[in-house]
Amino acid sequence: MTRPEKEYDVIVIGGGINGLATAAYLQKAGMEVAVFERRDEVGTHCATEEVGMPGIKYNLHASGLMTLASPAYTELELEKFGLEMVTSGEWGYFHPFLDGTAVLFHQYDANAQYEAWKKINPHDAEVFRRLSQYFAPYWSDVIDKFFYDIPSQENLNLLIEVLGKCPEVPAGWENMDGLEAADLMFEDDRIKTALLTSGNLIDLRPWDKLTGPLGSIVMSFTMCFPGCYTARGGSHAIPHALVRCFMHHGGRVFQGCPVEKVIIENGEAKGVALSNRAVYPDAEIMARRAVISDLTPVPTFLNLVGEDKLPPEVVTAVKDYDYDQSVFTVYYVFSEFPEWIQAPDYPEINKAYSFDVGIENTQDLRRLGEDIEAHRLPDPPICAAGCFHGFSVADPTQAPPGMFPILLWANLPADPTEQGGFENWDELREGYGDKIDKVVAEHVTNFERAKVSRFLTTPLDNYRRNPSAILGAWGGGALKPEQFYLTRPYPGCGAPRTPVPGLYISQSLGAAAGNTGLLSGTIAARVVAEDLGIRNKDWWHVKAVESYVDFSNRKWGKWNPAVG
Amino acid sequence: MEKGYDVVIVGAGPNGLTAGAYLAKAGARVLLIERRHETGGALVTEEFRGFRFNLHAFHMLMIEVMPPYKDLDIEGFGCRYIKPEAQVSLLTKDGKALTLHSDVAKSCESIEKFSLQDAKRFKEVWAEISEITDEALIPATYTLPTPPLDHAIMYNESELGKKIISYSEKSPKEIIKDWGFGNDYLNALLQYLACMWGLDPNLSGVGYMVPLLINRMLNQAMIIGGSHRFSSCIQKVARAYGADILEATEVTDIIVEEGGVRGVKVAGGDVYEARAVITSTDPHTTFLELIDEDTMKGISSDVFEAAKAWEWESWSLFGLHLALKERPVYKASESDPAVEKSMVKIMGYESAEDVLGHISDLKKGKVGFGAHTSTSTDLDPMQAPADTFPGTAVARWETMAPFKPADGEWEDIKEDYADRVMEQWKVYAPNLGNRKPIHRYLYTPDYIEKKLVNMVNGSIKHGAYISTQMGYFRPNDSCSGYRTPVKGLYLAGASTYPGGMVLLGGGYNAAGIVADDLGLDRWWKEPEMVKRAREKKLVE
Repeated sequence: MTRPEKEYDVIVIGGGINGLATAAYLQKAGMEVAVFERRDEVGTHCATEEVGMPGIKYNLHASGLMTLASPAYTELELEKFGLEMVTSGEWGYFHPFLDGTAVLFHQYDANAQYEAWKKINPHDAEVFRRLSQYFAPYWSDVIDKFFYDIPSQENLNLLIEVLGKCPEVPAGWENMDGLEAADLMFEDDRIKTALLTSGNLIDLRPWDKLTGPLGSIVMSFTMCFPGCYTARGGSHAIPHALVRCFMHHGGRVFQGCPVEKVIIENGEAKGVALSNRAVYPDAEIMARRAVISDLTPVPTFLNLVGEDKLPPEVVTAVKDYDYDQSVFTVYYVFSEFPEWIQAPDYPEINKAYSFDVGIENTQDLRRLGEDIEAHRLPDPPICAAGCFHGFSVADPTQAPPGMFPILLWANLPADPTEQGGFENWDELREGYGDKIDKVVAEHVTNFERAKVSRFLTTPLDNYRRNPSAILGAWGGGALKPEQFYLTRPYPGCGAPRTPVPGLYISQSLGAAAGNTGLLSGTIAARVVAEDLGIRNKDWWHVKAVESYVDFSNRKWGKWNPAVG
Repeated sequence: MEKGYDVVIVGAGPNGLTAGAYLAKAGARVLLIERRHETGGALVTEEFRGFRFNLHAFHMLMIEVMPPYKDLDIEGFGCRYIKPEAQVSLLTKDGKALTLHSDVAKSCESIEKFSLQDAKRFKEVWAEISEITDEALIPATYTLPTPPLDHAIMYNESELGKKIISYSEKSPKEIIKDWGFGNDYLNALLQYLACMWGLDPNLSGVGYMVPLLINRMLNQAMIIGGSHRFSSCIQKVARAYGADILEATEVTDIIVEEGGVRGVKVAGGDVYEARAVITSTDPHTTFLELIDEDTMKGISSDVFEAAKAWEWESWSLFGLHLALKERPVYKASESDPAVEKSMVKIMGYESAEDVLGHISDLKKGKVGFGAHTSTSTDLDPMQAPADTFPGTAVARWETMAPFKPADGEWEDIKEDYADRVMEQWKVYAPNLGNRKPIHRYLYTPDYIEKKLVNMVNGSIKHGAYISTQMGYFRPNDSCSGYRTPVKGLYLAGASTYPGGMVLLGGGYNAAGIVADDLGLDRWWKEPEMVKRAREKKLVE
């Protein structure tokens, strides 16, 4: 039952999807778990709301849902708990160019992608063929170990070894940035641009060393990373399913319950103190086994734990944590499906779920990196963080007939100092939206006629929604080499464990910034369960992407990761 | 998801959820099917840039007295409400305020500033309408309606019953007039409270609603965190007792075989079988769309015809919702500090005639500038991002509005209208002009219908409150007792007795009937207030 109590085995602070996933795993494994969420809804970054015309579901924010890639999809039985993943067609993603061409990514068939790339550049299609053939046997293992397992030197070595042995991957790739690596692998700038942009979709920035090439290489051998789906009813169906699973096993979720402090006794996390605004009968709730924070590093360590309870080097490291990886969101409603200038030659794009826009060449990606570094707004804007036109095609419940919600994410610095900084976003919002209109109108001929409405959100808007998302960071902080994998959130943290025994973190772990792959929630659950000695469950054995392969076979009757 | 249930509920609004929670706790296998992506129906709170806008239901008139709140332990599942002492302030253009409280003594103090005589009279009127409300109408909300003849006979057996009959025979306009208050502001305020939710001032037959509405508008509450929290918690109760919920799923057919219900079919073709189906949809949807026409006519042509004759409401609501950098400061709070924390501010009316004029205008399709407003963050600061952006606020401005404006489509006129509303609002709260709102959202009558499809023509209560559609006649005399002529089909929504306004009466009463028919344990006890009313011959 869901009666509030004074004590639980495990307390989770924050009901984001990773916190919910961790909670559901541990509850299912026999723990008594409670989640305390500050807001009135769980799944803050996985919200679906009607902020415009009623009947149009605005997915604010998560949109390219990667949940099928997660072991949690199977282990937590999310399908049984109402999650229905849907997409608009067999092509997942396309990168359009103003010359009328487009690079296409297929959802499940490497042969189809090979044929499409051959139209762009036969040499690069051959590179893709060889890459896909080389990686096919490793695919599941590498993704599972590197993205879904506890970050370790061993797993990192495995990745470097597997990639290093591939003849197509340049030697020393880990010391190059993405653009350098792509130059050594591919001929055609459009292929390079599309691959690097697709890496950027999972927050791996092309201009960074190690993570940049990792982005493009991973994307080149996974075809479209399983992120080209929405859920029936919108993204918020993910937290709904997670809550359902969690409650089904007896877990408790309390909304409107901001946590103010982690209670620390004899150096160990022992419970939480709620804000006096919390809707809960008690001010302090104890945790018998563990406290898990689903908040980002600054609120977790500096606010909930407190500087006085931490070694000075940890305080310094957390204060230096870089949050600046944010997006500006444009949400259009169209009364007609977009007429892409690329569609006459590439009709597949009309059925593709996602795209990007405004990146003509690799130099644009360089420019983006430089603008972000200089805290300057890219002009013209670069929508390289994922764009979606297939919501209502995939799921008719997301809009009335004849209406097409379209979402664009532009990458930019959260704190554009030249334009007045983070605090000035309310003033910058509409003007920057106008610039994005122009970029889209160059590619979409019916833009003016079809556009019914536009809704914009800025990094400041996101911070107002979620104070844990400092600088509006959707992914819990920049995914750059200094904050990647073993050094995420800072070197020596050992996340998801923390310097405070009994306290764990469940988001932005390892190779992940925020996404709906539930990577961090899965990792946190595995680590906490191991520490508590409850990991040994017969249902807890699924490898990452197995769910996706299984789903593809069921949905498309096919899963072909290697050309040939 | 299984395919066989004891009970399938069509529509997971407040009534559907309530019925589902009671029946799940009674041991039934329950499936709730909701067309929208969220349950809760009109209990909808959407977040804009970190600001919680209660776009639809906001004023909780019955929460402190409704049996489900305690029966279902909704607080145990995380719901809390605030019932402010200062309830409603009428603001005047020249900066005065008349504030009515849940405590009559305080109301009288405020009225005394305008008229000693009215204050004295208000105390008498308040005693009368409170007795009617507490002793008769609230208990009646949570029990079955009585056939009209029996009802009249019963009411004639007590003084209080007779008083209710005399109210019923009068129109809301006559009632206010007959109370005999001299002060225009007080008359304006009472007329507005009586009619703001759609009661026609000139129609007799439903006058008993006037004491109820005024009493409850002065005993209202708001939900901490936003209205949606209320439904979210009822939903948790239902789920905790094992109910399944299917969102973003539209029921296309109620499957009827041999005069009895077999289950429902949803878009996409899946069928869910059930021993009982409860719908919280409007009569058109239930009887004309979800059930095949020939089948329905064959079972009961009366019910079919009654559904066809169902009358929507003659006006709707328009809402202007603001995310603000600073809360509105009302001029009137200088002369009346209660305005600072009163839950509702009414403005734009300085006499009962102003209210009547507005209503007669909107029947001609004209928009008006009188309205009720609330600053939810004055009472619950966390509906804005107040911890990171101190001082930020959420304000809502809501007014009676025509579904079809004479000047054009809502989509075309709404921005201009809202600009003019802002100018009017600033007369009362001048600082609204100081800083540009962070966000403005306009919730028009056609948006109501688009969002909540049973609210046809923006009918916030699923159908007009007129004597032929109230009490035993809501939605018709064959179905107001929650059973229908279709065996196994039950009604529970706002178009069924006792009506809309988040009373949860329909869901509560229907749950009892369905539990009886399915042989389930009625685990909850009849409320003491109902027993008391029965002894006093105020309910059957």
